[in-house]
Amino acid sequence: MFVIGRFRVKGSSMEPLYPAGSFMLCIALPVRKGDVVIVEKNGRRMLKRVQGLPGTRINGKILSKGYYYVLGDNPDSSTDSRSFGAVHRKEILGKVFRLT
Amino acid sequence: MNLMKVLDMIKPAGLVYAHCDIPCGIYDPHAAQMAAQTVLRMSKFIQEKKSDAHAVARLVAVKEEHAEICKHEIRVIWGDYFKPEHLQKSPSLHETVWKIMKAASKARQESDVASAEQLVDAVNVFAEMFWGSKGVRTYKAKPYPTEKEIVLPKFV
Repeated sequence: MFVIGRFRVKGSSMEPLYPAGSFMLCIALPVRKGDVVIVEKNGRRMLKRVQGLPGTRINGKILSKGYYYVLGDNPDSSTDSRSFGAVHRKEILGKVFRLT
Repeated sequence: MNLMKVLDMIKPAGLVYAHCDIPCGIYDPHAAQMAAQTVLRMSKFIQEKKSDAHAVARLVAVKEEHAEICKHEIRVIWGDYFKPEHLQKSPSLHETVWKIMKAASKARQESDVASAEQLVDAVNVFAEMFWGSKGVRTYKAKPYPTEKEIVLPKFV
């Protein structure tokens, strides 16, 4: 377990739990279903909630080893695994804990 | 000033995004429908004013512009709003978008009314899919001088 860093939220796809402007701490911890994590994809860090773990079934498909299905809490304003597919564990920086 | 803001001044926190391009969530096919209706209206005018070169030039310019607006508006909704889960409800979405792109291009290349009507029809099908994905019922009306139906959302 180690601290990845402090982050500030930009955008509203994780409201009301993680409103725009709120601060959080990202910590490298094992990822479980329901955790809110930072996903780094194509150089962009995004806040998402883990909805599917490797080996579990999502939309009729079983997630491959090392792959996680992530969604925003507000689907209408979120680009997530529905668009870019499951993310690899290497793309997950860590779990977040809200500071403010 | 709270501790986090003080810390942020000393060492700014990294940004983490919780949205798509912009989290507006504001999408509406109406602009595409208006553009398609405009293409149809221009096509009809062109048929009526064939002998007036100046008028035809202006009408063609507007037709070109609105066919392109129609394509742009559809592409944005298709690419930014629709998600794979919507395909379960509207499995012919991609084919409809493809038809719109083709119909709009044909409406630019030609000036016959039938081509423009095909564009309006295809965009209406797209509008039905869009509102259907939100669980909003639709109805058809003829509010414009094209006398061609437009699909509109019914909120009450």
